[in-house]
Amino acid sequence: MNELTKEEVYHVAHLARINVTDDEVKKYQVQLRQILDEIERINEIKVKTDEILISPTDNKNVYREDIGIDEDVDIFKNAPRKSGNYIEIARFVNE
Amino acid sequence: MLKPTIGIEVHCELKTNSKAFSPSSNTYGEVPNKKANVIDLGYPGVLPTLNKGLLDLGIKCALALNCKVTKEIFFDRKNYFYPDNPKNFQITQNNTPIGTCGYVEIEYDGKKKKIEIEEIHMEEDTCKSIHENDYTLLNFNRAGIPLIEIVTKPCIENEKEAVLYLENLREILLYAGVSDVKIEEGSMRCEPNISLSDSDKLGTKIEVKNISSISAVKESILYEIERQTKLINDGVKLKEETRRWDDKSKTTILMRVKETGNDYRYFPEPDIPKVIIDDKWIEDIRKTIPLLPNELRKKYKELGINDVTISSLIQNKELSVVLNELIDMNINPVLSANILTGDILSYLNKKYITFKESNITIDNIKDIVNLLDNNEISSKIAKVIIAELLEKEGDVSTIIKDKGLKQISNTDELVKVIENILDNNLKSVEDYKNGLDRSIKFLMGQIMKETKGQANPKVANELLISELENKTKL
Repeated sequence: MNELTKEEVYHVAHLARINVTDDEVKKYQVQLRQILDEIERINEIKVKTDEILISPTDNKNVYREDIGIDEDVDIFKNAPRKSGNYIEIARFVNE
Repeated sequence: MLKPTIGIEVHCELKTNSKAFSPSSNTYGEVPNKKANVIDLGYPGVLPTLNKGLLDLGIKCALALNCKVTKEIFFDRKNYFYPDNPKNFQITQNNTPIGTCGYVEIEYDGKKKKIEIEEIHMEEDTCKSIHENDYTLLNFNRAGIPLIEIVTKPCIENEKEAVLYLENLREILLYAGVSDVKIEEGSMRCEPNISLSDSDKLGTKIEVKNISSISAVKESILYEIERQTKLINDGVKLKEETRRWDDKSKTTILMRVKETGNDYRYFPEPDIPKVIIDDKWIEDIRKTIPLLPNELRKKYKELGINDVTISSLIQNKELSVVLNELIDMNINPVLSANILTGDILSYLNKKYITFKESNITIDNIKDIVNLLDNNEISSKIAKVIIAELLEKEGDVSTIIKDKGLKQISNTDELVKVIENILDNNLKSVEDYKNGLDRSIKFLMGQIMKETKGQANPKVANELLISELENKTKL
């Protein structure tokens, strides 16, 4: 199969929120294709939805009762900034 | 001719005690960032624990919306990078929605129509973000609160059908007891998508977000139909996009482009094992669903309650619940309904309180209705008693005794009053002789005035007519 286009590599990099250099893009155009080819091989196995293994165990119906328990945790411990009772971050909506 | 096709996605917060995948409390209006733990904050290495209450309410929603319940379910991760969800994925259901193939019935133009529901699925809410000029504030109390997302098929033809669907859906979820469905507080969020086409093939879908009322849903649909029509007529090829409703300018504004479709890289959530829902579980949940609005309307109508009163009852769920209790106690339903939606409702609305917060009790109403039903008090006296009980706790018999409100059914006493009135209103007696029926109404009014509303209306009416007949014969 053909290697990925530059645009496809930039798109994946954007989804992962990482910066890539032109040299890296060239490298990933080839490497990502190799990964996708491997996945294509896996995709050849036909599995029905109800046969999908979603968990490495056979456990079923594992849940807890609906009781609210509030731990006393320091929510702001790893927060970049605090403003009153809020966590403050850089504005993220561009309208 | 361009025809609009509308689909609607609705998110509702479910009324559980704890969050979907963490045991933190599910609350609204608390001090910010007090009801959240490391799971809600998306710390590395934390594990979600599935809330049984979420599953119960998910099944309940599916049943209330006439859906087929999916018997074997699991959750999926929807991956996207956004600060309102720091673990960078939302736990949702992509492959096995809890309910499919449902419907909500609406009545439009005198015709019944089923708004088809494609699927409903369970997921977690993101944290609440408040945008200021150059920074954003985050409140994680909302992060992880369970949501049900309800997706219709593109089968809504205009803004009126959309509004009816949303109003009915809201009522159903409220009566089923799964959600507060308060749009203004964000516990119900509506996102219509609108496309225009002049053929059977659907046009380009434009989604609208950030709508904070049902009337704004209507406005946004009308605005989009107009905007898209103009663009298409100008030869512009539309692109799928998400727009934001701006309540101030009454327009939609293009939003920042987020990930879509494949970019979400859905895959099964490996930390939550599958859930098998058996028939017994479904039937147990079915038993907990009370009568829903359409069934209640039918029941009230059969009991002889009029349409205006019925719609007033349905809009005030608490009063409808009170009425149902009274009906179960074999109390006259029509009289009960009239009292509840009359003086009581207007008092509650005036004081901004609920029935429970008021001083009047179900037992009070039971006593009043029984007295009315047996003609022991007039409706005028009932009004006095109700007004008294709304202001101050008490019981009906004491008020009647203390205020001397006992109805006068004593014939001798009433005859005396009537004779006196007739002597002072000879013109009305003359009118009666000449066949003017309205004179009876006037004279009854006088009797009530004279007895301060205490005359038994039925007895007084009979006595009045026989006295008038006597006088006519003379």
